[in-house]
Amino acid sequence: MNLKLNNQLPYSNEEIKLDFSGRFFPEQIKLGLENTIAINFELTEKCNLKCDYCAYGNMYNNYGIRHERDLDLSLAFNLLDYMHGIMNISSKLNKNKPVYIGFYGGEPTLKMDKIKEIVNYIESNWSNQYAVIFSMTTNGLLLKQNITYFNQKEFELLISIDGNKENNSYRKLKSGGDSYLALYNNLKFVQKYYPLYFDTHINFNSVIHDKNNPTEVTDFLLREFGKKPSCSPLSQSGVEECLSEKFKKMQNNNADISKHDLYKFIRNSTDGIHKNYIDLFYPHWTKRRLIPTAMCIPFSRRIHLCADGTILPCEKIGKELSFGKVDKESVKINFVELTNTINLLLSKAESMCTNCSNNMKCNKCLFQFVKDGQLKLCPDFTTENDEYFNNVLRLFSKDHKLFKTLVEEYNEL
Amino acid sequence: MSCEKYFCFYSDVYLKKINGFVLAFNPNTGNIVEVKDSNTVDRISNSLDVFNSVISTLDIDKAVIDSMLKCNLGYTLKEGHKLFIPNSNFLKIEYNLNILKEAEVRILGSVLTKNIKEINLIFSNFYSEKSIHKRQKIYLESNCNKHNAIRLRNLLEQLIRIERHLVNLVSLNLYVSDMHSFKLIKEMVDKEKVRIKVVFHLPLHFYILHYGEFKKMSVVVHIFELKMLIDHLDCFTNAELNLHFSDFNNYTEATLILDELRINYVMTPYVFSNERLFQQHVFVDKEDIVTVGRELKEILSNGVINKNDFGKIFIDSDLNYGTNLYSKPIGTIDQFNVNEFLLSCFESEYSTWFLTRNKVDVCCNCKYNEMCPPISGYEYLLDRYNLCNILK
Repeated sequence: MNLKLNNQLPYSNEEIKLDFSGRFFPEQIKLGLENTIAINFELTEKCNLKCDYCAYGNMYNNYGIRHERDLDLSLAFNLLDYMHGIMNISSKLNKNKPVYIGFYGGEPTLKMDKIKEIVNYIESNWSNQYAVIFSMTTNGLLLKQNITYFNQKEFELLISIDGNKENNSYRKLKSGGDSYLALYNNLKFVQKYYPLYFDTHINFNSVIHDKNNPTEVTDFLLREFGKKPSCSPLSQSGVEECLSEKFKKMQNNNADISKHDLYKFIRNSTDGIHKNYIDLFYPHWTKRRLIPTAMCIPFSRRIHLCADGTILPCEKIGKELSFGKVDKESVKINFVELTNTINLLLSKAESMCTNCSNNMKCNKCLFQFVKDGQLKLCPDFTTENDEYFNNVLRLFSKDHKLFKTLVEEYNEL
Repeated sequence: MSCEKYFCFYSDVYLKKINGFVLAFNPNTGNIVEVKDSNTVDRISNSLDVFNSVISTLDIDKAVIDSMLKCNLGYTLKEGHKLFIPNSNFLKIEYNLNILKEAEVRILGSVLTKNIKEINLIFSNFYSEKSIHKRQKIYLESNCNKHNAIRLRNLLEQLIRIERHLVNLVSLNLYVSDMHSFKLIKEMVDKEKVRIKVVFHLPLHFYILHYGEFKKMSVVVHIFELKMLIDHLDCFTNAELNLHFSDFNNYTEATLILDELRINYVMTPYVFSNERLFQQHVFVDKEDIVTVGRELKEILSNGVINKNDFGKIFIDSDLNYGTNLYSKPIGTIDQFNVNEFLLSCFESEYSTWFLTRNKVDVCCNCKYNEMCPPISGYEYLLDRYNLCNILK
């Protein structure tokens, strides 16, 4: 049977019912951790900025109370020993595989002494079988003071900047002053005196809100620094109800449909794009058992140690669920219990995802809408889809080469 | 009948332009329309370049549009309708060969291992046998000395260690024909608690001699002599049979017996001065190619990978390895390095994973080359690629 064409689409949700009955196994999560890409440390809850949209600030309520704590180094060393152990017993695939050691905050450069101790610990205690890459997300205000060390240790830096002075104005100093000039000068200094390092090890991340847009930010950063930023929206999970109006105002509601969205649309609405050759043997993903939401396998991308010893699978999610804990004695992760908790939430999410018109273009993580251990309604949930689909088709109709170009040239690997 | 200005192909219709033809095939119905007129072909392909699934019917012979409608290949559209409609008439592999060649070690191992479907360890040095015709039987013969058996066992141990990364591995096939090798690997497979499906392939004489040993195991017994099968029919209650036949009479006789006794079996023709058998019973006609009930992806995949061979690896007792029993070996496993080993199966000129009909003589000019079954080992044995009665 041919798919019936409805409203000019190659499919419609009435015709394809996705199966969201997929669940995790404890082994799968454990394997994810053994082969994780990055081990992250939240060195401190302190920051030298007070950005209006900070996920740890007043507007959000799901990251726990910030006490300006610093990470106890013994916890960091415990986690490193644990990870070294499980990566060693894992398969040979890990050999020669780089592991990223990431430093987060607060602002991690406020704790350079801790960074240096962790780097020393790894260099002294980890055998050479792993290529370790140190990385950091920073606001760049202390970049100039520490550039010699970063250069020496070849740190990969992701610097937060939202564009030009006006674009960047939500990123305020603690005093309320503007942080832009200090950052801009630091970047220019590094660009001038460490050009090779700047070219190869520094990248930008921009939060998109009502004072900027991806095109403007990209144009600015390309012009000034020759670099394209990665753009991310304001964090949507855990917004305080009383501040939701303020949040809505700060959101960029006119953001363009990005290339990524268009590519995802093609991938989901056709059967033409596949990750691996082996996928050619299997039915289209719409015919498989899917895990509800767009979440990844917990810990498969990173393990994040918070300053209070809490373990999270990612720095972007709150502390609503207990994934594990590091204390002075050991690392505690109960994979069976964790899997059961996640699967219980996934069971609750199943019907929501099945009925959501956005389920083919979903980019929401399950943990983004968990509150007090309970699943809330996903902020992207809708049963109406025509507008988005029509907007996408309008773009393709306007630029006939776009579809082909995206298929042939775009790659999100 | 067709008075509208545009015609839109259904999203799962196979469209191909080759050698001045446009071919439109609906895999769900088996209907096919072939357009030969060069002006019409140009107009159709220009429209598809712009609108993806839609063609302008202006200046196209009405009979062509009518035949497409009649064959249920699409529907007509009015003017003013949005004309760009995505279809699935393309294939893109994100982790494709070019990406893999440049991939970081970080992702390489996990991507490569995902692509493995079947590993075959053969306790005989069959890749050293230059005559590929003789290779049809050699993997059933016992010519594996103790030293080589231990080497193969050690390799198996290393493969088992990465087993959980081989997420798409369907089976681990072990071709054994002597008791020493069998015990060596059986012990190891039991000890390591292998979770994937392990299938022992045994020659009939070996199976008959020790068949008490093979209970509760997945076993395929390979038989070349129909008479031997008939003499031992009571031994096959737990085993699957693979009956290799070179003569159609044997085929008919065997299927009658085995169907009656409800024994699991597959029949595999083997090449032995019997091209006629293949011409009569194996070669495909246009009717075989234009069949109903296939998926568009299945057809398009035939232009990208060889689905008979992709993901399969054969390793012999000298640790020579290849991707098809009858192709040349890719190399010899010296120091086992997963990434290097698997990457060579992608890259080597002797790998058959990407040996598709659009790359071989005769078939490359055939308009049905993606609709045709993938190239198989029989084509090496018969020394011709087009096992068909279309292009002779």
